[in-house]
Amino acid sequence: MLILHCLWMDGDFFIWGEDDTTPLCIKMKGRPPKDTSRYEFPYLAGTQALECILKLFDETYVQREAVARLIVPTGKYLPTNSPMFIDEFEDRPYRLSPWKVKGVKVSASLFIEKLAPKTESDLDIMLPEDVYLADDFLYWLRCGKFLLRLLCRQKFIPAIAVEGGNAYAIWQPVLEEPEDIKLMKELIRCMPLVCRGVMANGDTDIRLKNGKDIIIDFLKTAMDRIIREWTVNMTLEENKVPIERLWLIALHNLDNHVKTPMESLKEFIEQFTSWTQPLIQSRSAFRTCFRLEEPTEGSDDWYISFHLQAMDEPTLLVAAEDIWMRDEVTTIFYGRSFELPQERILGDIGKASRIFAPLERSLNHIRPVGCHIDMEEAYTFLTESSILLKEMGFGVLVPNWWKERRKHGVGVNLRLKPVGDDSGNLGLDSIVEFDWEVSLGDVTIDYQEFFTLVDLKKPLVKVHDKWIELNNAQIRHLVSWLKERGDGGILPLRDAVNLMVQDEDNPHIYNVEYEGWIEEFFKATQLPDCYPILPQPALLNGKLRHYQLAGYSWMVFLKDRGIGACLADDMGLGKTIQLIALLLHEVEKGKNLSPTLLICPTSIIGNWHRELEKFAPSLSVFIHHGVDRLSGDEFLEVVDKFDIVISTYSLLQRDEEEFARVSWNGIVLDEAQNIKNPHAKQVRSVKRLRSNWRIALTGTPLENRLQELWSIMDFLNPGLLGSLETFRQKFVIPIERHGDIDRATDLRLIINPFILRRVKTDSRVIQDLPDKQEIDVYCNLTREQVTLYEAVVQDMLDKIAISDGIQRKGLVLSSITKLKQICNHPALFMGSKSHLKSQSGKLIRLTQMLDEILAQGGCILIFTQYVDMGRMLQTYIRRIFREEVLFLHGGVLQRDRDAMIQRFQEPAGPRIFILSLRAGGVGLNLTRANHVFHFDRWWNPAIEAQATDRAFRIGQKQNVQVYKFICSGTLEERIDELIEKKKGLADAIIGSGEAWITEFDDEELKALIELEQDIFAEEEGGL
Amino acid sequence: MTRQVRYRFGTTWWGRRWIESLESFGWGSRLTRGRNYIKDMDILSVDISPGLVKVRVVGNEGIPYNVKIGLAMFRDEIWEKILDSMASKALYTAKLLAGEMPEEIEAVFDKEGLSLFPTDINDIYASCSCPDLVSPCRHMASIYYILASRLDREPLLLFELRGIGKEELMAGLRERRTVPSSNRDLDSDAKIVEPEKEMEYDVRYIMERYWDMQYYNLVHIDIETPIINESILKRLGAPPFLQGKGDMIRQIKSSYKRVRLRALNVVSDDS
Repeated sequence: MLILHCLWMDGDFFIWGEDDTTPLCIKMKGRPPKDTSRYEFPYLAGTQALECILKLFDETYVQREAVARLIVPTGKYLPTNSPMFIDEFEDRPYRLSPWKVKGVKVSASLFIEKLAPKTESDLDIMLPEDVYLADDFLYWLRCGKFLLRLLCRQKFIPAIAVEGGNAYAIWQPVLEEPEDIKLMKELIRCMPLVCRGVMANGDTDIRLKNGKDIIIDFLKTAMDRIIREWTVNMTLEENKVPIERLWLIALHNLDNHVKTPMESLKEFIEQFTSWTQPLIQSRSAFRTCFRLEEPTEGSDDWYISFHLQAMDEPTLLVAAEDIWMRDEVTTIFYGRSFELPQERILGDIGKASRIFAPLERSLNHIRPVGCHIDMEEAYTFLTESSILLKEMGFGVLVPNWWKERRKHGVGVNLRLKPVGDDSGNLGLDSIVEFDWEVSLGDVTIDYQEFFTLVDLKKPLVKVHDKWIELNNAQIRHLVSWLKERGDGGILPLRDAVNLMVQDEDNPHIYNVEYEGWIEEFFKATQLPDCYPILPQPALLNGKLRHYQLAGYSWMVFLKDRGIGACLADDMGLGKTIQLIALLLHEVEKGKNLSPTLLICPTSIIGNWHRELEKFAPSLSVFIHHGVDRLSGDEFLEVVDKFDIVISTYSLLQRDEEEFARVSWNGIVLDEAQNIKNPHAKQVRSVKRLRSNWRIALTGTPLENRLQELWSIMDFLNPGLLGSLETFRQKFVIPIERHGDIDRATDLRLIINPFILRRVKTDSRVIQDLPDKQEIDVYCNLTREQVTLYEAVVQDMLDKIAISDGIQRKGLVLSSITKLKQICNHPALFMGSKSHLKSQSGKLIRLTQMLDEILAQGGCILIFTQYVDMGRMLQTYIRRIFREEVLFLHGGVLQRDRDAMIQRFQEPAGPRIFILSLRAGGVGLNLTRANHVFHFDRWWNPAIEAQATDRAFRIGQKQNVQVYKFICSGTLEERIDELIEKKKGLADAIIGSGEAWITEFDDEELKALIELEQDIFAEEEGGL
Repeated sequence: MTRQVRYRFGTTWWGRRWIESLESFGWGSRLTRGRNYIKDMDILSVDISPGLVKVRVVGNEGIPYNVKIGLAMFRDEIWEKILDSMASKALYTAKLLAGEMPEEIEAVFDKEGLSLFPTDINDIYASCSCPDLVSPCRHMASIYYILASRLDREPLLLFELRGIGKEELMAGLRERRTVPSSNRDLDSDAKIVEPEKEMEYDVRYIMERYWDMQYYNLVHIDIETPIINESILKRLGAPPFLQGKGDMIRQIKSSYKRVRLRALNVVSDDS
C-alpha cells in the first residue's frame, strides 16, 4: 500500500509517499536521537514508484528528486506515520521533530493542469488499487481547483513588484468576490497541519508555519508561473525600450526581471497603483449592492434599491436610508467597520450609472435610496446590466424567479400515451404516441394563448401570479421547433426517453406526462399500485416482508418487459431475498432459469451460497471460483446443468472466453458498483455477455456517483442514457463540477423508472421492519489466514494428544484464542512484526459494508474483544474512509470516555465508534448508532446482547441492524451452530467464555476447530 | 536616458475645456510648444496643495527646474454657497467620486457669477526657475498640458486648484447631506468582528490531528465560466501608462484570453 502526500514547498509541489513495506531502519534502543532531521523518515516510498504514478497523469513526467525537512509528531524513537497505516503505536508521540523526507517535485502547472481538474471519483478510477491519497494531497487538489476557478474567471491582474532594489513583472491573483473570499477562508481553516510543517533551508525553529501565508504564497507563485507558462511569447530584442514595454516583456517571459533603474520606475509604479485602485477598494468590509424589486400587484413600478452588503456575509444589508445618517469618517455597521460609506455608495452609483443609465435619475435627489424603472429597463437590468455590475464587483440581488427562470421559463411538456391495446410488454421497444404542450414553468397553456403572449412582445409577463421571461430567441426557436415536429406522432419508448437525454439544443422539457402502462412504468418506483404485487413464491423457504414483496414484484415487472432493473435498497433491507424470490418466481412460472449467472465480490460468494441454500433449497447452484475451476468445454457442459452459476468480478475478465460462449438466461450483478469504471476490461466483458435479462443490485446511493450510475445503467439497458461522453457533458460535469441542481432533477426523472431504492426510514419500510435485525455475516479466510489457521490446528492436535489436565486445558484455551485472532486478522496473531500488507476476510467484508452504510448516512458501533484489533480497525477505517473514528477501550480515562460518548451522540459527531467489548459493556447510551457490528464473538448471547443494547436503548427511534461476523468453515461457524442449537442451554454452561470447550474430547475438539475444505479463499491483494 | 512617458490630454470634456481656456489667453505658440516639449522632459516630483501645483522637472539640458502654477482661489463664503447648491443633488458628488466632472457643474458656478475653469489670464499665476524670462516658458507650458492629462483622470484636482481639497469638499457635502438621527440600531449591540486569527493549537491536538483535513466536507469548489470576458480589464479601463499604445493593450488582452481558454480547456478535458 502506498499513501501519497503533497506539500507546497519553494514554489513547487513536493510529492512523497509512505509505504508500509519499507523495513524500519531505525534502531529503537539506547539514547533517542536528538536531531532527527539527520534521519530519513522511516516509512518512505521510493521515488521510482512516485514517478510511475505521476506518469499516469502526464506521460512525459520525469522525476525531479528533492528532500524536505518535515516536522512530524515524534515519539521517543519514531515519528508517527500518517494515521492511515495499520500500526500498533507503542512509541507514543509527544514532541514535534523534523525528519528528512525524500520525494519528487512537480511543477505547479503540471499539478494544476493534470491533477487538480480531476474529481475524486476520476482519481479513484485512475490510481492503482493500493494507492491512496492522504488528506494533505486531497487538500492541495482542492487548492488547485480554487486556482483554476480564479483562472477560468480571469481573476488576476498584471502587476509590478519591487524586491531588494529590483523590479519584477508578475501576475497576481485578485480575490474580490465574496464567494472567493469565503472559499479562501475555508481553505485556510481546513488545511491539514502537516502542510504547515515544511522547514525552510536554514530554519532552526521547529514551528508550524502560518497557514494563510502558505496558501497566499501558493496562489501568488502558482498563478504567476502558470500564466507565464501559458502566455510566454516575447523575448527582448531591442536594447532601448520604454519601461512599460520592458514590463510587458517581463510579464510574458520566463525571466520576470524588469531591467531598468529603480528611479525611472517611480512614475510608472505610481500610475500603476492608481490604475489598480478600484481593486484595492474592494477589499473593504462592504460593497455597494443593487437590489431589483418587482412591482406590487397591478402596477408596473419596478424598483432598484441601494444598499451596502457585507463582503463576508452577503445576507447582511445596510439600506441607503441608514447610510445618510452616518457622517463619521469611519462608521460601524453590524460590527464591521467601514470608511466613508456615503462617498462609497455615491461614487458607486455614479460608476454604475455608466453601465445602467436609468440609475442617473436617482441622483437628482439629495439622498438617493433607489430608482424607479419600467419593465423594459428592468429586463435590460436583469439580462445585461446586472451581469456587468456584478463583474465590476458590485453586489446585485435579483428576485428568485429570475434565478430559477430555467425552471419556469418557456419549454414544452411531453405527453406519452399507449398506442391501441399495446400494454407495454415490449418494454422500451413498445411504440408510444406523443404530443407536446407549451409550458411556462409549471403552467401549461394552449397554442392560442401562447401566441397571444408572444404577440405582446413583452420580455416579462406575469402568468398565474408568476413572472416569466419570454426570451425572444428562445421563443423563435420554440416556434420553429414546434412547426418542425408537428403536434405529435409515434415513436418507440426508448427514443422518447432518449429525447430527454440528448437535447442540448432542444427546448427544455419541463415535464413528462404519461398515460396507461407508461405511467405505471415511469412511476412504478415512486407510487404504489403501479404494477401488480405478486404473491410470495411457494418455493421460498422464508417470509417476505411487504416492501420485499413490492421490490421483487417490481423487478419481475421490468424484467418481463425486457428492461434491466437496478434494486438499490439500503443495506439490511434484504436485496438478496428479493432476488431469490424473483428466481423462484421464474421457476414457478415454468420458465427455465438455467443458466443464470450471478456475479459478486469474492468475499460474499459464501454468503450467497448459504442464502440460496437456506431460502431456495430447490435451486441448483454451481460455484465457479478458485484455481481448480473448470474451463473450456467442460465449463460449458457443467454450467448448463445448474440453475445458478456464481462467480466473481475478477474472473469476468480472466475467464471472459468461457463466459462469452454461454447463452445465459439471466445475469445478476451483486454489488454492482464494482463496474463503476466503464473503461475497465471486466466491465467491457460483462457488457458483451448474451442474456435474456439483466438485473443489478447495489446498496450505494447512485445519485452521488454519476459515472457509476451510467456504467450500471449501460449494462442494464444499453444505449438508453446515450454515450458516456454526452452523458458526461450533459449531466456529470454540470452536476458534479458546477452543482447544477436542475440537471440533477432532470436526470432523476429519466432514471427513476429503472432504479428502486428504499431506505430504512421510508414509512412504507419502517413499519415493516423489526426494531432489531440480527444478521449473520459469513466471511472467508485469505490464503495467509488459512495457512496460519491450519498450522495452529495441527500444532494443537499434536500437543493435546500427549497432555492432560490443567496443561491440556491451557493448551486448548490458548489455541482457541490464537484461532480467533487469526480469523480476525493475521497481524493480530503475528504481532507488530507481521507483514502489514496482509489482509483478513473480515476486514474486507467490513470495509465493503461500511462503504455502503456511510454512503447511506448511517452510524456505526463496532465491538471487538481485542484492544489491538480495535486499534488496527481505528487506523484502518480512518485511512479508507477519512472519517474520524472513536475507540473506547479499558485504558481510556473516565473523562475522555464521557467526552467520546457525548461526541458520538451529537448529530454531527463522528459516525464510527469502536468499543472493546469489556469496556463497552456497561452503562453506555449510544442510541445514535443504527448499525452494530460484532467483529468477533464472545459466544455468550447475554454479553453480546448487552453490547448490542448500547444502541438499542430506550430513546432509539430507528431500526438497528446487528451484524455478527463469522468466518466460514472455522471454529467460529461451528461454535455459532452449537450455540444456536442449544439456545435454551443455561448461561451457566457457556457463560464463562470458552472454558466449556476444554471439556471436549480430542475427537470432538478436532471436529470443532478443523478447517472445512470448501471455503472460498479471498484472492491476494483483494483490497 | 530615454524619455519614457507619453501623455494624452483632453480626452474628457473637462480636460479639453481646460486646454481651451488656456488657449484663449493668446499665448499662441509659446503654449503649443510646451506640448511638444513634454517628450523631452522628465518629471521628478509633483506636489499639489490647495491653489498651487509645484513641479520639479528636468529637461534635455539636464538641469532641474522648479515650476509653480497657481489658480485664483475662491473665498470660503463662496465655497459655502457652492457647496449648498452642490449638495442639493447627489449627482455632483456621485459623478465626481466616479471620476467624472458633471456637466451641470458649470451652472452651479454660473449662479454665483463664477467659473470653475479659468476664464481670464489673471486667474492663473505661474513661475519657473529656468532662465527663460517669457511666460509661459516651455516648462510651464508643458505642465499646463500635463495638468490637462491629470485632470482627465482626477477632475477633483480642479477644485483643489480653486482652493478646496478633496477631503474638505467631500466633508462639506456630507455635512449638508447627513440626516441627524438617534437611530443606531445597526450596531448598538454588535461586537466588532475581528479578522480571524490563525488558531493556536495545543500539542496534544496537533499530535492527534496532524495528518487530517479539518471540516473536510465543508469546502466545495465549483468552477464557473466567466459571464463577461476580461472583466477586470474592462472595469479598470486601459492602464494610464499604456495610453496610446494599442499594441501593448492588445497584448495584455490577448494574454487574458489565452489564460481563460486554456483554463477552461484544462477543466473540461476528460482524457
